Amino acid sequence: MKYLLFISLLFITTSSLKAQKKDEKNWKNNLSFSGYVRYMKSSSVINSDSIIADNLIHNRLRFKMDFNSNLTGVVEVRNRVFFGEATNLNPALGEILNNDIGNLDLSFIPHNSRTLVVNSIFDRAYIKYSSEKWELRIGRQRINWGVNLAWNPNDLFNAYSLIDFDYQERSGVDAIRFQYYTGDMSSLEFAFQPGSDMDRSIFAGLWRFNLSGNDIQLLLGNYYTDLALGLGWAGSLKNAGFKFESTYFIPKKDINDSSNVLSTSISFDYSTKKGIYFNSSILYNSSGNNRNSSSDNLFGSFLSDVSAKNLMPSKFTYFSQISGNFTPAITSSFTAFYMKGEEMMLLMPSITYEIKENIDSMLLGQFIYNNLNSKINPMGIGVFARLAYNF
Amino acid sequence: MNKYFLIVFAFTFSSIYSQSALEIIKITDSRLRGDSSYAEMTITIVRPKWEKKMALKSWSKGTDYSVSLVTSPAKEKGSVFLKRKKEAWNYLPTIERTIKLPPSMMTQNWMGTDFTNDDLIKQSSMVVDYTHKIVGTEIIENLNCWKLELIPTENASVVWGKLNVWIDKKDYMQLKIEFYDEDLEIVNRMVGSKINEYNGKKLPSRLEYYPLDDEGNKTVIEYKVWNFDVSIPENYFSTQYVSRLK
Repeated sequence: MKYLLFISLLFITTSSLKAQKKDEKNWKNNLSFSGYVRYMKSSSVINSDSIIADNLIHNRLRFKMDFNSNLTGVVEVRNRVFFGEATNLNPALGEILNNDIGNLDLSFIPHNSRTLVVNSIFDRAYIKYSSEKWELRIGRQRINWGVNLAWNPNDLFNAYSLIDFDYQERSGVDAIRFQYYTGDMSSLEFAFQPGSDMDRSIFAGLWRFNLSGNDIQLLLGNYYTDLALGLGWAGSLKNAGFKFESTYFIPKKDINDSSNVLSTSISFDYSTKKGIYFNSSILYNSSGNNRNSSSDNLFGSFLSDVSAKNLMPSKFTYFSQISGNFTPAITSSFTAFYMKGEEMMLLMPSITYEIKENIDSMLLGQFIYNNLNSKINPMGIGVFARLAYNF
Repeated sequence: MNKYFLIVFAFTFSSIYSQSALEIIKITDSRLRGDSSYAEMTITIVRPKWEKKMALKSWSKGTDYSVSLVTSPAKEKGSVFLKRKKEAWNYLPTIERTIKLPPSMMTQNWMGTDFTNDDLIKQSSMVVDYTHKIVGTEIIENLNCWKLELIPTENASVVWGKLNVWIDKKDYMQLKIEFYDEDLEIVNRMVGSKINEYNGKKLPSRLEYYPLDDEGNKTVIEYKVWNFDVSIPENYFSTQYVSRLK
């Protein structure tokens, strides 16, 4: 992988030099730059009455270079500065952030102290070659195969958690991806995330097509130690949208092993004339818990340990969201997750106000409850206030 | 010579007058669309103390295919709306995903504006979903216009209960539309102005949508570029091309 990236970089440099020689002015026109700066103040209460506050300055820079009409290079970096009580209470924060889970270490900690932690990570760094019939991407990228909003069993490479609201872009994977367009609405795709052996790699193919108003996708692949078979479907029932997404994981070593895992998510969405949008989903994880596991880190499982095979720790999890605009400037949403068995519920209300064209503010809450012995207990509260400037 | 001219002139005139309401709507609809079109426009949402301006590029082919790319502001830049017949998708560049939209999304207001997705891309609906009647003539923008009344047919899946449309007799421009709800109460008004010539076609370059319940609110569309019968590659209207539109 390292060699591949090295060759890619060499390729970028030489072709960019060529482009530069050809037309100096054009070179500048072909470079695009965008991003945002955000400041977020968070306050959390976990299992106690004391409030822990923290601050985050969050910047994203996106660079895109069109070397010619076919070849494009993309580099995106996420810079974050943490300071405050929570940063102070977590001496390992710098080390955790420095750990890049990809094949290449593209995460840097320019400053690491108890009072201030600075982290930069390149979560996109790839080149793509696009022709009329196919596209090849090499490097750190996002491979987004999901069809649902809340949970994506088909998202083998970049499964994510909706709760991590401050990282919409998600981390990238170091991979090679080839898409071949078999028609206007159909394509074949192959993606490979290499590891030291097949049990540490993902290699999968996806076939997409449109059939009488339905988007359908079938996938087959090697997912670490499993064989993965998947189906995704996005269609409609009358005026509502209907989506189905499922992947079946079979251990390669022993096909008769009972540790096969089925991960399935079904959702409906509907939008009223007034623009109020509803989305309801259910997730079935056959390897999930059916009863309370009394885990200390259930909230962590909402966020960090997310994979296509294990999207939620519970066997059944329900999701509902309602969102809408009060005015064009004010958007509000209310999201609820309920883990059956674990008897845990997360409520997430939010309100966004677009102050000016490129400046918006957001207030978001996360309220976690569990239900033990038919008593509802608050487990934690997080309140986040964010100001963002987009450029 | 003059006599012949007069006869021909009178004949043309009378034939215009004898044109049916349906023919008028068909002509205005086809002029607005062409076989295909490419447009660059800005959309401004105006509220009493707040304003938002967006820029868009938009391609369309016939009545079934259209795709729009948001080029500003920064936060929404790169978002794409694709429509193929009855299906619609939204591409969000930040999450690099194409999301299939529920059919009900089509009747909701588009990106906080005062017009619906349907208003924006289902223009042909005026031809097929309504019955048409000429109810008078009026002067708008110094132009002699027909006033037409459009009532939805029984099975039409449209939001409106009635439309009044003013169309100028010379260039078939839609200069004013009044939108009525199912209870036949007037809810929205569209006014066209600043007539420009695009590829030899005269069209209002500025369209203002007023929701009549909310004073001080409006949405303004201004066409900067509008080309008709341009050649657009077929793959522009596909889910796989949305991330490559420029």
